[in-house]
Amino acid sequence: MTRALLRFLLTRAIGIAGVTLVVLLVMNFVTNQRLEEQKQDSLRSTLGMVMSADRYGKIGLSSSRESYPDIQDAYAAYDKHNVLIGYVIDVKQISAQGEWITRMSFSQDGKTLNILKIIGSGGTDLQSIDFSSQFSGIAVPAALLSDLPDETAVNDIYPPIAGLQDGTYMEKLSNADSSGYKDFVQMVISGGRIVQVTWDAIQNDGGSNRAKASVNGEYVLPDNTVIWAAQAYAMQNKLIEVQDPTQIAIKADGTTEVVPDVTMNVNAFLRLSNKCIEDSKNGRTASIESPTLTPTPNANTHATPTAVPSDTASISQPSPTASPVTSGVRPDDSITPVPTLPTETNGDSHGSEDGIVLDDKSNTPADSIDGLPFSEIKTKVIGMPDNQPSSRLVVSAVNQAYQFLKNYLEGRAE
Amino acid sequence: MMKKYPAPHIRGKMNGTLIPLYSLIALLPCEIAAVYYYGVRAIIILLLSMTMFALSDYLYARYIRRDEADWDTSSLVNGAILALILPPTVSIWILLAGVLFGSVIVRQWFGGLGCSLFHPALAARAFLSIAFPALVSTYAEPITSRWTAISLWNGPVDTISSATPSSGSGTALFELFSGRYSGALGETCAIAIVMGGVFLITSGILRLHAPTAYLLVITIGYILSAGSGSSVQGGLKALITGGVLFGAVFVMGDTATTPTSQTGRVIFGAGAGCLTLLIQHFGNEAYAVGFAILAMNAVTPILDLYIRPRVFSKPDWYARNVKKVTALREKKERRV
Repeated sequence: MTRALLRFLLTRAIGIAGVTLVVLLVMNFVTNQRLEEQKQDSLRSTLGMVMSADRYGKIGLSSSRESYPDIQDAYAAYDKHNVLIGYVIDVKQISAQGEWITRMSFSQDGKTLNILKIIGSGGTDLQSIDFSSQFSGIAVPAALLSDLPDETAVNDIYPPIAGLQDGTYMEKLSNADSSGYKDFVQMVISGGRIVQVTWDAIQNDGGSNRAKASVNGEYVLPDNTVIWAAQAYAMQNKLIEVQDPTQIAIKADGTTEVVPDVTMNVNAFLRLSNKCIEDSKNGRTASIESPTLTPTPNANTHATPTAVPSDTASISQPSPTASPVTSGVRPDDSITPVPTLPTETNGDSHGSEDGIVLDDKSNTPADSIDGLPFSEIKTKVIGMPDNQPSSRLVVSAVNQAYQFLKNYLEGRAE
Repeated sequence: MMKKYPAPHIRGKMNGTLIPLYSLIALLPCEIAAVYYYGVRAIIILLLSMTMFALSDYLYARYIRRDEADWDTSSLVNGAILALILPPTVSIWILLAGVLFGSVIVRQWFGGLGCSLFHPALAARAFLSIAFPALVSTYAEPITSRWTAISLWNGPVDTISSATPSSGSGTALFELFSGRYSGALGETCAIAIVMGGVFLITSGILRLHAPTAYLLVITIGYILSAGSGSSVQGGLKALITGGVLFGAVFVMGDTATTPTSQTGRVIFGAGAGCLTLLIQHFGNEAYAVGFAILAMNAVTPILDLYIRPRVFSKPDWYARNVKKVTALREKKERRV
């Protein structure tokens, strides 16, 4: 083969390769445009049922496939100005009735579920307006009403100490501290439960109480953190919540980490509270003689911390019957966290280093739905009466989509 | 001093080395399309198939001490065609099995260069479809997995396979021309095949009789089967999918496995077209073209026997006087 022939062949080869490349690139550019438009048309017709958008961008699921195995597809939706307007997520679910897709649209921040639709023969029952419309415009995550503990069960979860007699009890220290204050605790017991607690101290020389003095800046704690009155208020609330001073663990130095922002020594409070409980058991009702105490007018509502605490905390008395939920949609309902706590206490002071003391028999707090703590649940929905398992799956899909979106948005923010 | 040489005394530019080189250049568009759509896998499959085919041919020819045990450029063409008609998900082991079958059994055992009865690449592909049907019928989506060589070693895995045959159903005509649908490595891009075909025709290598007859029969078959529902788009689809166009351009131009006469080539093409239609309708649609052409390869010696090419531009005289000529020859020989 001569060099000229070789050059001739090479020229031909390079020429034909170049032309091929150009043709391929042009054809594929046109194809890409066309396919994208086709895809968007198809997405608009399918996803438009939950969120109408000009363009949908697919969100990659490869990294979250393990954590969210049921999520089929996820899309970010944009308007014609290419501004993000929300997200659409498909979750595939299977039940005894068959399989279906739960298609949901969320707001930009992923905290509001705009519309939910059930697609597929397996979810025919769930497609009823009564059920699916409950999800329109709700804050997520959500839970079925039946998933949550009955509020009447508060008594069982935070059991009162056995043998308490109703009445008002008060105990005070006999000796004043170095600042001249004598601590006292006043406790109101109603229906066998602690419903009101007051912790304060009177000044020996007749000056203002410690709570008031701390608010006025006359009494300052050594670490100069949260004022004494606010810390005392937090302790009172905690005692009303757990019903038993022995459930509030303290450290050797008399401080506790159970209650946020409380850094001071709470030994006196717990000791006096225990004495009040003993008084209640023995029926030694207090004679309210201290002129500094002011009875709390709102004994049946949650006390709200204010700049000047009332020095008294109280809790709503649980109703003997379940609170009726007239409508399934309660976007703004908040649900009080209800940790599982020991059911029996003997009144003896015991405590571990920090944390609420848990009973040996049930020391695992079962306080979550779909991996979300009750405190995060924003909305309660009513399940289909004759199809609770499938209703549960739909709620589970909502929560899974919420968690996926939360992680995705956090990842993007980073 | 004058020397005597036997005919032919007039030679064209083309020879046994140059024709395959032209064919290789003609295959370039398909190879580029394959690399464009399937990336690094296509590069590896193409290079491996070509080099192993050439190496196998060379080593076997050396082993049996064949005279023309030289580097044969047509081996590269066969290697390239084999790679281009295999799915991109094929594993190296399957590919090597095909190369060995095509090179040693189909080519060398039948006498080597120019002597094989069947087209070596097509025969190798047919062997693989029968021996490993599942492994050579799993296709991948183009573009999506271009730069991942995953599963090249062990064959198709879920990550890239789409198990879609190269029928092109549901794909728009534009994509069929650009080749952007799942199928064999180099069979899908119609525009690349056409470019290669035009190059072969303008270079005087591709004789159009067999391909024209083949495509014509396929078109007629489509019109007959579609009836009133036939359309230009449907006809084009029938022509450019399933390896029909690729077979017509790159396989029917093979001089060793197609008849030498024009009429023979037309019959070859028409027969292959009829068989393709039959297999497509009643048999394995995915490899109808390959089996049809292989069947006609088997008929080629018979066609060459009965339909001889014209001799010295006097076919009529030769046909009329063939008995006389034979008698005269015998008489002359007896006298000598």
